[in-house]
Amino acid sequence: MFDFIFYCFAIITVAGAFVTALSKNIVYAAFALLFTFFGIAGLYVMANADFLAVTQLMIYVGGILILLIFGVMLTTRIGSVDIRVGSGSKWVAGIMATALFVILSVAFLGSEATHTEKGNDGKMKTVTSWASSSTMPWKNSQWNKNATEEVLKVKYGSPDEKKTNEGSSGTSAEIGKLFLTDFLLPFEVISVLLLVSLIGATMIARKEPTLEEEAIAESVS
Amino acid sequence: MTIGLNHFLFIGAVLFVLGIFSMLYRRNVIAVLMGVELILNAANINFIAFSRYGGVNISGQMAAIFVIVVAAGEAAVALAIVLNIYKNFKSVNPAEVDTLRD
Repeated sequence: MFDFIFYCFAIITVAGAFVTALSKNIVYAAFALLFTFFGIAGLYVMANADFLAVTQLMIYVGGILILLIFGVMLTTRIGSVDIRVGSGSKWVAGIMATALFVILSVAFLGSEATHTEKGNDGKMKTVTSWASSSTMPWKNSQWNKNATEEVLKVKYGSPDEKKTNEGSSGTSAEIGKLFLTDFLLPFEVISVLLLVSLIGATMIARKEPTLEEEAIAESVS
Repeated sequence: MTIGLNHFLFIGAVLFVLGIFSMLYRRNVIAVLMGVELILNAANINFIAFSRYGGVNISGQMAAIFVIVVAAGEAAVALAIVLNIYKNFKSVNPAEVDTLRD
């Protein structure tokens, strides 16, 4: 059942991403991006990241995608779908993307394949130690179930919070604690960054007043 | 075959590659920005996958939250720039915005 739901979300995500990357119509691409974001939120839920799934829905679907659709509507003339393609650009992009995909697939599929074998050269050895069964024992189902809870319990021992039910406890409480303890400085820095970027965006996008409008404003005030 | 780390990494790789393709191929700045969002989501999927299966505990989710915040700021600033480009050039084709070129 878990596998079936995972594959459903994966198909939604990947199909949406393909339409986003390949669709000639920019509005179709935006709507396909909506499905991609929903599928990714589902994948987050499958990976026990419920807070992040809600954040994904709120910020990506509710914020960034709306912003992108506004950008589409403000810049694209309706009825004139621009399908011009630069000469040879499609092939260059396709070949580079395919090559990159092959490299990535070989990288992470090979790393799991080699962790039972012996790595001779140093480069192989780092890969094998990265994917060794001691650091990534995802095949051990007991570790798999409550790894995060156990690590957190060791690190931030909280005896009053007994997490007996596996997987359903949620991560919001831990994330909130971490934001105010270990990640306090990044939290403040990212808030300043967000404020600066929003002020900068409004400064860039605002309409420059012409000289006559400035004169009128000065005479009124 | 049970769902493991490699399944998530595979989806992340597909999204990353499609984002790269979108950035290289598209002739509309908004579509290029959609490619950037796909790439950021691919990075987030990798963070979540390693936080679940890879021994990186909940710190992976924290990093993904920071990535989402940066993506929000990036989208806001980038769309403001795109609107200004459209106002000045009457085009959103990145190949036509070449005033500084000879």
